[in-house]
Amino acid sequence: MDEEQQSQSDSRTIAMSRTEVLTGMSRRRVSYLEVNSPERPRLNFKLTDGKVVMGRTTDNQITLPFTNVSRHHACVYINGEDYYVEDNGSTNGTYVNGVKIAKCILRPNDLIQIGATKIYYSEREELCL
Amino acid sequence: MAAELLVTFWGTRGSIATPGRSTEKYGGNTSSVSIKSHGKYFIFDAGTGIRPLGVEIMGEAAIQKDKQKELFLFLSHTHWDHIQGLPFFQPAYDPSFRLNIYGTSNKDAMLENILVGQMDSSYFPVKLSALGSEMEFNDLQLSDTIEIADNKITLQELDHPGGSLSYKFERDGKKIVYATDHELDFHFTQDGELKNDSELGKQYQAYIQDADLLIADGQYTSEEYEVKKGWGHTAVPTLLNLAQKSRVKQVAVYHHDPMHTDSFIDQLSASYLKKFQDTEPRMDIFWAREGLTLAI
Ligand SMILES: [Zn+2]
Ligand SMILES: [Zn+2]
Repeated sequence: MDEEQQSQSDSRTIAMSRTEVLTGMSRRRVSYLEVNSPERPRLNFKLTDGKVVMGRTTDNQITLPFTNVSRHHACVYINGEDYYVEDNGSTNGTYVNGVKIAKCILRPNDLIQIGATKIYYSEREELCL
Repeated sequence: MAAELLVTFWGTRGSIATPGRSTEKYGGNTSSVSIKSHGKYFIFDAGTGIRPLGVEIMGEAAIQKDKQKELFLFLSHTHWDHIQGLPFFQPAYDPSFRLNIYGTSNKDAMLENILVGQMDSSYFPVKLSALGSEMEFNDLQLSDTIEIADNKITLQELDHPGGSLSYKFERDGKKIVYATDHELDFHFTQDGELKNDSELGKQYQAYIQDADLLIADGQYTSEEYEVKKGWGHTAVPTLLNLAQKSRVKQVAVYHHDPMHTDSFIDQLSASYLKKFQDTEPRMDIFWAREGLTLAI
């Protein structure tokens, strides 16, 4: 690169506007549940601000139609910037990474178990455009 | 959550707070645990984890306006990682709360004076006496039993530089032991056998016998313990083997070392879960994590 080209590329670098830089920095975290029930297709569920109830009956946002799952077994909801899973007094319990919980904050790669269903919690960063 | 006995971990770290990505799962706040028993809060230690507990209690108080706002705080001892959150505990500033604080005096100072000292103007802008809540300080003796409604709390001395107290909470036949900052290895081998006919060891074993939940110091791996003898903390195998022998039903390994990242604790817990998975009687083991609530 000769001196003239060098100075052109320098000026191009400087020309990137402050707005563009700031736009690139605006991100939001998006959270997902990956629901794996025996002999059923895997379900990817994007979490929002609404409460997600999981249970045996069809009025749940995530239906787990198995006999060892309570009707409204557990729920996932946001509090501040964190998602929590909470057991709704189910018969067979809700487990996070093998521990029977009443309530637990969720962190990436946490495994929620309800009956034979395995639910993985994950987070991704998305750019806000 | 219909259960009436809820245990929540607000801070699980020992020694110093460790914020950051590598500790977000097990948590960076220092020691604080609550037992919510039929609506009443019993709080164990006031490390930095007591701050978010305070936020939660204020939120509930705003909803349930007429409820009795009495809180019970039990301090194991007054090392920084067990008291530093107290000046940031919002209910302490609110005149509608009554805060009953329990602990022991050490050789030199009464409990109240130590907490006043932490809020001296050299360290903190607001004096303890300026806090709005009604506060009562209770200097405990080892033989004391505290009964509050149907909740009973008894005490056990622990082996820690400067001293530390364990609390056993009992209600409706359930037993929860909070025992942190304790060098169990002075009294038991890593296989959980009593050493040198230790009197304190015998007392402790009887005290934790058949506990439904034991929340206990397990700061070091056995390798780390070798170079940290006398620092006042326990090696994981000593804790777990003794708990197993004492027929404890569930153990929360607590007071995590500041150097232990989430991935380190994941590996450590996986290796011990394997070792204990088929033991009789069954004992559940987990490494305490911030933001976890159990129903006992
Ligand atoms: Zn400590
Ligand atoms: Zn200490």
